Amino acid sequence: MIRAADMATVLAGAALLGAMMASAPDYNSVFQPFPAHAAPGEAADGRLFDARFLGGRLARQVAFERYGTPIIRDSAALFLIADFEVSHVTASTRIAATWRGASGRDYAATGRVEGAPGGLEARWFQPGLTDRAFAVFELPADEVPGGRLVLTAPGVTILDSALHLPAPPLPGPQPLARIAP
Amino acid sequence: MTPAKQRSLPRRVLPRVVAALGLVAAVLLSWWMRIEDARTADTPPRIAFGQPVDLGRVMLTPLSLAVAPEGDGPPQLVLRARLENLTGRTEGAVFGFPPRPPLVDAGQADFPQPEIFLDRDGEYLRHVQPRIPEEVTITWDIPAGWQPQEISLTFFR
Repeated sequence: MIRAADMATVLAGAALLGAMMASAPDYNSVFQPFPAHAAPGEAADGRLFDARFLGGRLARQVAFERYGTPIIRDSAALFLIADFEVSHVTASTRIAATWRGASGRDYAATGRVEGAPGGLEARWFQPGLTDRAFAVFELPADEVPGGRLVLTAPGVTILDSALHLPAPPLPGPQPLARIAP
Repeated sequence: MTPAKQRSLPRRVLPRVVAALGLVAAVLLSWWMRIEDARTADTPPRIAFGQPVDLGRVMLTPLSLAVAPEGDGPPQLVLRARLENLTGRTEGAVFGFPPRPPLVDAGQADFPQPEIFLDRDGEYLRHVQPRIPEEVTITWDIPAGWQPQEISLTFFR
């Protein structure tokens, strides 16, 4: 007859194994970029570049010209145009922008304003130059307060840095915001 | 000090055997659960218009299906639908990656890959943002010689 202590050991081992299997994070959760946080209005230091959140505009529609053609985009939610400054670039790079909303959801910069003058998808940032840029997001209004701008190098950012820039207080939404160079 | 009582061989081995079997059972169970999660049903459930279809990352609700009248271009099969992102991030691969768009089963005709437009502005659908449902139009160019008939659409998860 198996002693109670032996049975308890086996059951404890099985429970421990089950708990480890249930709680083991997946690959994507384990390998993430290193976050660099900044206070509102301050610059965050990253591996390739530093960045500072300058301000933003909220709008129900955005207007811009693409190769001379006027375009207006509307949204079922809001557009957020986030302006930021990039400095201390150590190598020529492009930048990808994400808005981490108050709920924790990630909103990638919208592709619906592709071709807008100065759009982030076509911008390169060069060493020795301090530059300004903007990213446009489409998101529900309640994701803006408490959210933050996350800037990374494009592509795989594992073991790279991600700059987390909290949102400064933003004015209320305008009916239309114009994107101009 | 009295010598410890020597247990018989079966009593010493049995707990180790039970522990090893438990470990193997846990590994096999975990492996089988992953297989079950990835398994697709042999016969997909049938749905009607207005009923949502869970495509994994996106919930698609077909609203209407029609043959667009001939205009400047070729006639098209037009599906209007509502898309809702179920994930916590912007989803660009609405029909998965590599994409597996809805399959039209309409006789012997081979329908080409569809195009997806955002109803709001008629532009190509680029992505669906979390918590912002979008109404879209999915269009297929109708092959030459095809006559309107009963159609079924298969969605893949």
